Amino acid sequence: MPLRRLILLPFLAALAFGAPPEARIDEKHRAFLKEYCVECHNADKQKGKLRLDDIALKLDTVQLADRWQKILNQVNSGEMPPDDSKQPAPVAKADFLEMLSGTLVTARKTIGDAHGRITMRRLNRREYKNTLRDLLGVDLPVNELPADGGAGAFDTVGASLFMSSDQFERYLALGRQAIDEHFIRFAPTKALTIRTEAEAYANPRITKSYADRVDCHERYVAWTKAVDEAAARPENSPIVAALAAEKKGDATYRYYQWQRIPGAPSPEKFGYLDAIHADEQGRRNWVHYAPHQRAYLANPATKTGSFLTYEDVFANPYQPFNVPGDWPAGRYHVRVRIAATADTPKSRHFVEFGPMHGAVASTHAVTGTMERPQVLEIPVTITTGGSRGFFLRERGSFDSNERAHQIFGEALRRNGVGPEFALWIDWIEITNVDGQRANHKQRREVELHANAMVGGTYKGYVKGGHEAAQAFLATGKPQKDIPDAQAAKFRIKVFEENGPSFRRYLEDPLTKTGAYLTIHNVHKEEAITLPPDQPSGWLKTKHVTPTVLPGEYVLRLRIGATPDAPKERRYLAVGTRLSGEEDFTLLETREVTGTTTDPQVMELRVNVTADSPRTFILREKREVKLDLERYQAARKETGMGPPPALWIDWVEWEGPLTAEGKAAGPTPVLTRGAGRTDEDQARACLADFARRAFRGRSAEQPFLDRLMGIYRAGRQSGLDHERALREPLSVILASPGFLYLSEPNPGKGSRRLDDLELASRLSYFLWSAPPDAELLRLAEKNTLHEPVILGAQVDRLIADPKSAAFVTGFTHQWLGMNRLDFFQFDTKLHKDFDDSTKAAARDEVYQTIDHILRQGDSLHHLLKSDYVVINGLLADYYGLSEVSGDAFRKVKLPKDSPRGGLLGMAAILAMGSNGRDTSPVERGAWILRKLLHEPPPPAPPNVPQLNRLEDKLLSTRERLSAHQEQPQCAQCHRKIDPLGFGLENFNATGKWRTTETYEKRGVGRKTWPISPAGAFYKGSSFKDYFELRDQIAAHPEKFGRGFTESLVEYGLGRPFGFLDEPLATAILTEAQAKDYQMAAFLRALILSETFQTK
Amino acid sequence: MSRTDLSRRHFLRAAGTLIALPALSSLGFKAFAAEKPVSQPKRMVFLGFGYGVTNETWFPSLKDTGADYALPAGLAPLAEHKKDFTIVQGLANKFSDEAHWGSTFWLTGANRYAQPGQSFHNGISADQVAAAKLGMDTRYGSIRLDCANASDSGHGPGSMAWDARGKPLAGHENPVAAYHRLFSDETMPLARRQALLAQQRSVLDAVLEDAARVRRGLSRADTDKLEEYFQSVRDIELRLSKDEQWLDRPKAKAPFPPPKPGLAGKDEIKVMYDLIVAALQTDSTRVLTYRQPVSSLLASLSVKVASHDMSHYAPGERMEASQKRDLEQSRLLAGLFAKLKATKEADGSSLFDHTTIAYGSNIRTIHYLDNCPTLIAGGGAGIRLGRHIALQGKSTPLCNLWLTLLRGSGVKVDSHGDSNGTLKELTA
Repeated sequence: MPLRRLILLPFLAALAFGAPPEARIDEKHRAFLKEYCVECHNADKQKGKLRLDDIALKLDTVQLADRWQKILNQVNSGEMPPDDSKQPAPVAKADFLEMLSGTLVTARKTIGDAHGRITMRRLNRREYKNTLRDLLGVDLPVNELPADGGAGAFDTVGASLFMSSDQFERYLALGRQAIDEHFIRFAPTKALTIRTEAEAYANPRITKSYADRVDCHERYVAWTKAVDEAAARPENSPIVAALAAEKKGDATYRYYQWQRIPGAPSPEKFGYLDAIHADEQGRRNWVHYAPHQRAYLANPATKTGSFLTYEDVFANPYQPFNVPGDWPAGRYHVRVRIAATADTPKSRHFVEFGPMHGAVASTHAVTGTMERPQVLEIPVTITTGGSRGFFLRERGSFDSNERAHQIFGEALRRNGVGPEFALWIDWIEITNVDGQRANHKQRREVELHANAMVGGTYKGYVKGGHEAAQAFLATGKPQKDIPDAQAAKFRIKVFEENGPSFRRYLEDPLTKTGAYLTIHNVHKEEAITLPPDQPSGWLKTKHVTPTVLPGEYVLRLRIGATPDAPKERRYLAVGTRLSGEEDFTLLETREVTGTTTDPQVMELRVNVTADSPRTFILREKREVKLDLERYQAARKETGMGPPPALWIDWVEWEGPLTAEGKAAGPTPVLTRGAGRTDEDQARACLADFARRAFRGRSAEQPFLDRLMGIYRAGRQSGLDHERALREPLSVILASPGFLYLSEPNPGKGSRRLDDLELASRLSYFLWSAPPDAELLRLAEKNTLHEPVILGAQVDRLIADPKSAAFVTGFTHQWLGMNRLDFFQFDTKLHKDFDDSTKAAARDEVYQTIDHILRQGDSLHHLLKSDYVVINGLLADYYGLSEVSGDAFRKVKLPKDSPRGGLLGMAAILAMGSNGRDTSPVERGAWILRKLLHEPPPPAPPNVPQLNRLEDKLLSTRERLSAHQEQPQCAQCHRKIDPLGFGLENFNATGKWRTTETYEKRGVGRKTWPISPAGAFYKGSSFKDYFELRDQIAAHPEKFGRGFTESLVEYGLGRPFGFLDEPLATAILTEAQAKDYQMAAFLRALILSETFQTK
Repeated sequence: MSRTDLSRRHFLRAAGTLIALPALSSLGFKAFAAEKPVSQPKRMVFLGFGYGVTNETWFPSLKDTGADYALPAGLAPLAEHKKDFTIVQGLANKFSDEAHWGSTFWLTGANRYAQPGQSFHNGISADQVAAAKLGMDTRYGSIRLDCANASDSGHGPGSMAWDARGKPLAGHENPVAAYHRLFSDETMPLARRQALLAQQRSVLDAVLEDAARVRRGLSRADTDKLEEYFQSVRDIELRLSKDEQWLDRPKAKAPFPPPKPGLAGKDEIKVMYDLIVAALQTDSTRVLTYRQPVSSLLASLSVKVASHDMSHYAPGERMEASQKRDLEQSRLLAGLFAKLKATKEADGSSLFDHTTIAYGSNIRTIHYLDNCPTLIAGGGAGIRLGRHIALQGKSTPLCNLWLTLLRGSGVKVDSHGDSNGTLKELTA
């Protein structure tokens, strides 16, 4: 086994000396330098200021490593030796390059080695999220925190986890959000709600105002009548004539001059101050306002609500409302049931909202109609001492007195009444945001929406368009949306192509009681929408609650597959939608086992936060991009789209689930002790929460004093006890005691961890989450470190579902699975590798490792095994029958199956592709890195790329042969490529194939049989994939070694160092004794002294 | 003075940081474009794209230098601005050896391996050097714009901007968030904001109290690590001090309404460019970096090739994708130049006249890290524009360029990164 010896020898040598290996270039390579370099780079002729005749061969300083790096780069880039001087033979050059790049990797590692030092680290993004979950029972999206890892390190490596001020602020904000949501979920406050009927304010005012106006007018009429009677006296005719001459055409002038008319009564007798007053109140205002007020009162809508008006302060230009004075400061929702009238311009359909006597705070479009008013929701925050009164008014109705007057006057002149009523308010409701939450449940019969939508589209667009087109063709007259013959033709085509599919849908009896999910046209998806979202614009569902609060919700639907639906079409994809019609983020894919005659009820749980999506889309699992193609193909055959495969009876949502309903949830932060003052209780609560947040460490008094200061400031600003506590509680979540896993060690040497530190190291390793009560209890008793107890805890933690966080977190990074998301898969070429399949393929890797870990199986099952861990969807994909259902389970493989082990997994193979074609280089390098623990050096910069064969019709293998021509390429590719060729029987998405087809635009298309045979570099040969796999599987120790090093790095939070050699050997030895049981690796590492040492 | 104040000052002093608060007099004006001082301030903008360019069609011929060089196809959309930018060839970061890291060291020139005992090291980036000087008088010292999934766009780990300690500085990935940060009105009354500032300060005081506990007994390396936390708090302290100075002055008015959410690719870059102009125009900041997306740019151009595959182009589909990318980037850049030129300062000169725009990548093309593509525009640093300069050799330190631009913009520094001088060719 030459392969094996190559790797193990240097490693054993290092062990024997117990010191980091030297990065030393063997003396014999001086010959190469002497032959090809020294002529120009010597003591006399130091070209490029570089001497190579006496260069040191031991790369133990940054400077020396840099110098050699430069040499490597120059040779790699082909610049050295220069073209006009003597060139080394290709193999000699490749060997030299291989040696030098390998030595440099060792040198960088040696120089950069941290000597076993574990740098204190902060929680990474995954751990932070899980820690909030365990501590507070809230599940927040934390995507705004920076992604961790990078520079090739695991996301647990402290030295690579940074902190910045931006990040600190995000911790503060997220901590605050978490605390708020915790209180919503766990410490509900009393629900407060008040509703004001709009007419209750407006109607009495305007009724009284109008009565006053009538009274004023009547008195005016009586007075002027009396003045007129005096004027009619014959003896007064000269003065009346004189008055008429003074102001011609002004009928009111005589009343202003009443004193000059003998016998005319004073306006004071009629209740006016003087003539000016009388004219103003009794006539001008009457003319100006009375028609408006009459119209207002006569409108039937003012019996149940009120219109917002202009200028007339006694009508309703300004709808005020108040938050009751005894309600606590805090966040409230104002809900306004409001409508815009049909005959007013759209520009007037906006309502302004703001604090009484203050500026407009927000303006809202009003889309509700008088037939169907909307409920507008406006959040407000009430602060102590702040305004509690608010107003609503029509946009622009009160920009200034002058402007309002002007608008009113213009309208009055136009219609004799005043501005038409544009906005109507039914009621205004105020509720506190964090009030006691009601559990809601709402079922929707999907056919109502579906039929309105499908039938409407058919009648209006498809059939209606066709009729209009026929009318156009018959008459030549443009019809609605059909201006010309081209449009007519198009609409006829639409009808002919889609009409039958629509009719089939509408005529199917099952659409009377439910809805089909179709492909491409007709009815592609259903939706479960939590308020305020609506399933479509076609019909509005009356929700049981205007909006839902954050929390956990259950989605249910009754679903069945049609009798003829093939197995691969019996999957439902559930996704979320934030915006737009096409937006779809896959949540999960479920197999449909029910039928249309015997439907099943499917249930899934979703977590809803303040800003997460509330629309959940239900589709048949498929590659949507291929819809049109499939639709057209089916249409060619049957005249209709593919027959629908899935049918939904109804959909339902329920929630939020109450905290009590959850098993073993976290303790609520606020537990009020009896007979204590607020201050005492606040301090106790903060101290208690800090200890939990700090994973068992107590906060110190000065810190608590500061927190109490923040609490008191809150109280002084008017917050109640609970709200004042939220700020200092969230400060705890931004403190270093929470954010960092600190293990003090002032001394020079190392020390043993105390049990609390050990508890954290252990739980973050296996759960990516903080220690639970049991771990903390053992730590406080100081018994956790006792090997028997610790061993039992390791088993317990692994058995706990929370260890899934280790499986996914570790595996994703260890196997480099981020590559699966590097590119879009070309689903035109790989039709069934849709997002659901990709997600299931990714899950297969996790589920397999999960299975191996928990069932006590051996690590070498990852190299080769006679079983797979799959679900029904993947069984279909792999062509394995007899498996159905969404649960992943162990399935025995037929004898000749290429599956079983990582190399046969679709996800691993797809990672070794570019989404379209296979990449033997990626696959080969991955085998060397992950399975054989022989990582090739990183891709060097400035190596000339070879494109010579790119445009030729060659097989992948032939095309990559160029890699062997240049020594710079060959140094690595001679090891990499043959292994990748061995996997060529798998296409880019991991399907088995026996031929390969290459197609190049303008060049042609050709098919070759796959030739997987090859050999390890300087090692054994294999004739096909199966032999390749067997030879890799024959070396579980190499695979185990790579796994161990990754495990050490992940678990200790620092790069695997040279001092870790004995540790790795010990772990491997112990695991080997247990046939490489995966759990044995973990146990050996955790029980090692290194793991328990700082 | 309250106890809070005392201890905070004490902390700042104890932490050994000298906080240079901007002098009040210099803060008294310059808040708005309308209140500009007589001489226009210098600005610097660094635009980094990850995966380099198409070698064959982006660079002018090395033989064709000077003012009358022929503009290559990849730069064609910039033709109308040809007199206003200079292409420099022959610059590189000599320590760079990661073939997919297009911006990690672009502005720092640092040696990843410089620190024994560490596998990663970086230094301060040119923009942060600039921000320390040019950012003193503006509301924001520097603004960093970023893209989602940066490594997918060839950028490498961390950031493009690195602080004085070589730690990555996060940026805004989302144009909407960046917009609101820059321009959204403070709806809160002044008194309330003052109270909030006070509250933020007491929050900082509290966490520092706990930090003091955690720090006790830490090893040296861990103390260094925790120092990042202290530094973060200190940075916020500085910002709060600055906020206080700016408390009674509203944010600048945005010249356009908030961008639509969900923009990606070319639309995203365009709106980020608009934000850059707006930020400069309103004098909200004078230093900006933008780590541009490549992956989503390709998607927005309906290019099917994945970004990394595109970067390894060869004649055919992938090379076409690469060239499409170059063209669109040039088009967008031309748009930015046009906007900067159209935006007038109080004295009638344009914003472009006082801004330096550096546009480039640490990757030339494919896996090549030499001759980093470099385009310099704008009148901020006194560079002679309208030329194609081919420097001797392939590896004049890129940091010589940064040093030249920094000094030209009035930032007095002796050196930057691995610089060994300035580029006389640029100013001569």
